[in-house]
Amino acid sequence: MNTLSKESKEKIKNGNNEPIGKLFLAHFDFCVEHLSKTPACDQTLAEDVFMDALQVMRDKVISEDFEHDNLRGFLLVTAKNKLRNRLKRDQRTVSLDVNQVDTYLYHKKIMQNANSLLSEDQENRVDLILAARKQLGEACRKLLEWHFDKGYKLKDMVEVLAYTNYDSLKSSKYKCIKQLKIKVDQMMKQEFKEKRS
Amino acid sequence: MKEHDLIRKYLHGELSLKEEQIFNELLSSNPQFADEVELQSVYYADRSSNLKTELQALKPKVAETRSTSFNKIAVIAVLLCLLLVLGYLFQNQRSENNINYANIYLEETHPAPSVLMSGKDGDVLWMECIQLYNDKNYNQAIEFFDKAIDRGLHKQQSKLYIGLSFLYQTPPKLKKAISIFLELITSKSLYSEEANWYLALAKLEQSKKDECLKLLDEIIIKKSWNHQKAKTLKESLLQ
Repeated sequence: MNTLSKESKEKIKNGNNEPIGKLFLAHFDFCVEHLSKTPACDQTLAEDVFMDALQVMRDKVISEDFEHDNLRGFLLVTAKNKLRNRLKRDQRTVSLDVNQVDTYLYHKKIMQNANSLLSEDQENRVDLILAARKQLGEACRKLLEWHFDKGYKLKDMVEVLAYTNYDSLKSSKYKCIKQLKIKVDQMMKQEFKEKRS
Repeated sequence: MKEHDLIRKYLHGELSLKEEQIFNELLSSNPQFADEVELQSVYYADRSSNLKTELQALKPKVAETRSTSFNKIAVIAVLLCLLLVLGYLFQNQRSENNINYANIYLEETHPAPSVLMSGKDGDVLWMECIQLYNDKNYNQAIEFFDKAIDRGLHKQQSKLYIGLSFLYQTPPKLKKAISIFLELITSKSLYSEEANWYLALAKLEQSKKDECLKLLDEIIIKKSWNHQKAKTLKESLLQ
């Protein structure tokens, strides 16, 4: 259980999380216990960053960027990186910190009462981005999904998405991003109006 | 390194110091890049939280797989001890019984809040609160959680932990704990379910069995937090 078979990788690439569940069960005790020994890391946080590591692994498998002989080693190193990022004190310059968004959405999904570190406006923005992406046209939705979720590089997507060349795909990508941001802004304005009336 | 790779590394928590510097520079100088980072962060967090929700459902199975034979023996031993304790309790006076039942549940302290750092000013204070609570230094924990409330930090959560600290103190300050739990319940706080359970235990500690039973019924009917424990406690009290 310390390597990932070709078959498991295929399953993960096809959206089947069963191999990840098995890895979760196989490495949970060891990894969580090990991570819990880190100062300022309690059991909950250890479990969280261990799951973070599995998500990173899944992302890499899907984008065909995962080759490791020592799976447990990979999970521990990745979890520790994630932990380091979560404990970082200096303010990031990003508008929405990925770890904070992750925590917010996770707690929202499991209906757990936890204080989100995002402001109410930021939480609202996250919700609107998720809602707005469903409203994108088919072409944009697919482009962003393949590039963001599947991690495909633009140059590999040119042919599959039937674009004439890399530059036109790149320009489409930015148009789609802009479109999504415009939708979010419109929804925000609409919400603001409704609140005022 | 290409922007796409930088973003992936950021999402995966793999940026080196040098890469982080480049990443931050790009964020402040290139709005297109900043937009993409924001959107990719939400997309990433969405799929990550979906996976975590699936894995969370497997957790009870984790507990099962953890049960090695040694653990099984330990569980049997604990159960035997529990039976002995319950037998002993049965021999004692009624009011004492009630208090000891509450103690069984109060021995297992409510877990401290998660240390989720934001890099904001209140982090240090929050860490201190958690540390004091974990060290069972309840007097000081109350003081620090109070400070957290003053600074607008996790107000509701801080209140719950002040109530718990009053409850876990030796001797417990039941009236103060009860007043805080009631405040959380009446204000329909996010922590009202936890407050309900601990209010029931505090009432039992005060030997107010009927009030405790009423609260337990509420927890059981609403299937709220610890409803299984509430059911077990109710059965024990009615024996």
